[in-house]
Amino acid sequence: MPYTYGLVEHGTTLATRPFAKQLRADLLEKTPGHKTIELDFTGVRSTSHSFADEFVARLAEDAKAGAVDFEVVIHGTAPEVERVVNGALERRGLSLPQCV
Amino acid sequence: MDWVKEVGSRGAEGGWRDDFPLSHDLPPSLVVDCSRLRLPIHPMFAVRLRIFIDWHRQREREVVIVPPEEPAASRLFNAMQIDPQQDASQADDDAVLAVTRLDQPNDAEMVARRTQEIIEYQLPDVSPLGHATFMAIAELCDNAMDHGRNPFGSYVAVQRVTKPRRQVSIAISDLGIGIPEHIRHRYPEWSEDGWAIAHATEESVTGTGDPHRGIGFSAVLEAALTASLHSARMDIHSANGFFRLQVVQETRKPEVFPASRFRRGTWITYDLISV
Repeated sequence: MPYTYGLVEHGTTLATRPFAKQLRADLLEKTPGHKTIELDFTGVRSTSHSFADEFVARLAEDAKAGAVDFEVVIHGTAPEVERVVNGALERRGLSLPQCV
Repeated sequence: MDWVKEVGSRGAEGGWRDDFPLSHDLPPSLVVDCSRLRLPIHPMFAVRLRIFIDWHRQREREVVIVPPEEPAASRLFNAMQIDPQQDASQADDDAVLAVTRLDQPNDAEMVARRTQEIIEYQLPDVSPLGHATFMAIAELCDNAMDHGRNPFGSYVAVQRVTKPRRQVSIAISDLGIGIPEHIRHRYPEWSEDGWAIAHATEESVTGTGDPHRGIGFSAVLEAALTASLHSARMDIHSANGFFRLQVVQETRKPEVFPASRFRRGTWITYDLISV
């Protein structure tokens, strides 16, 4: 069973690098031992590129490099959010599976 | 003897016509007379005057602001909370986000969210511009608080304008190091301030040294490219540089102009004009 990290608990809009760093630290604190982390964007209306890069793309990069021992999947992105998240991943040459 | 500044009736247009000096040489009592001021009052005017007020009051000068006499201008002036000592009891739908000082890490997130909610839920004539406004405030305020770090913080204000076209106007300022000096840490060869700003807005150009940074300005412009946008215009004043970037029908038109004078920090206006 993946660990589901519900982003909407932190707001329907997500922005800025400092906030992303805060959430990344929160996620890492809550997920020791889990093999799959599902980033659930259900209910999130907007996210900034800086947030997506600092939160999602950095997590994906750490997972790919083996710096964390879980894999990351994305769930529940609205089209606007999906476009921004995918853009941030592409800029780092990464991609993540989407759960339905 | 008091220092008195009389703002002209059209002094607020574009936000830049009147000078508000941040100078240690001014006397202890300052008066800014806005009684003749009429609409439009650009948010950059509001931010500049508020910074003038806060900067001098912090240095224990008395600053007296005479508000506009014309009722519509007076209402917007009050609703934008330009003078924090005035009773901000008047509401004005065009005052989307009153002048707000950002000094806590999550302030940019908070104002971006609140502004998007107001535009999308309360202002149907400009609601399609909500996402583009969110992205602009989130990215540009993030930059201001990160790269423009200074003890005075950063300021942001947002207005809806309905004539001659429906638009959202954003003003963001900080008294930090300024874009040209920041970017020259990494690219010392960009010696001319206007061109240094122009380069700093290009994708993947960053003064941080992190190859994955430098996406903020591109993200802001990308978000503006919606079917609801007629055009967008971003003016950036910093140090001795003045850079303007216009987006019309998905075409970007960058222009560098000679600055009229040195401006400490970074001053960005961004107008999103609806179809």
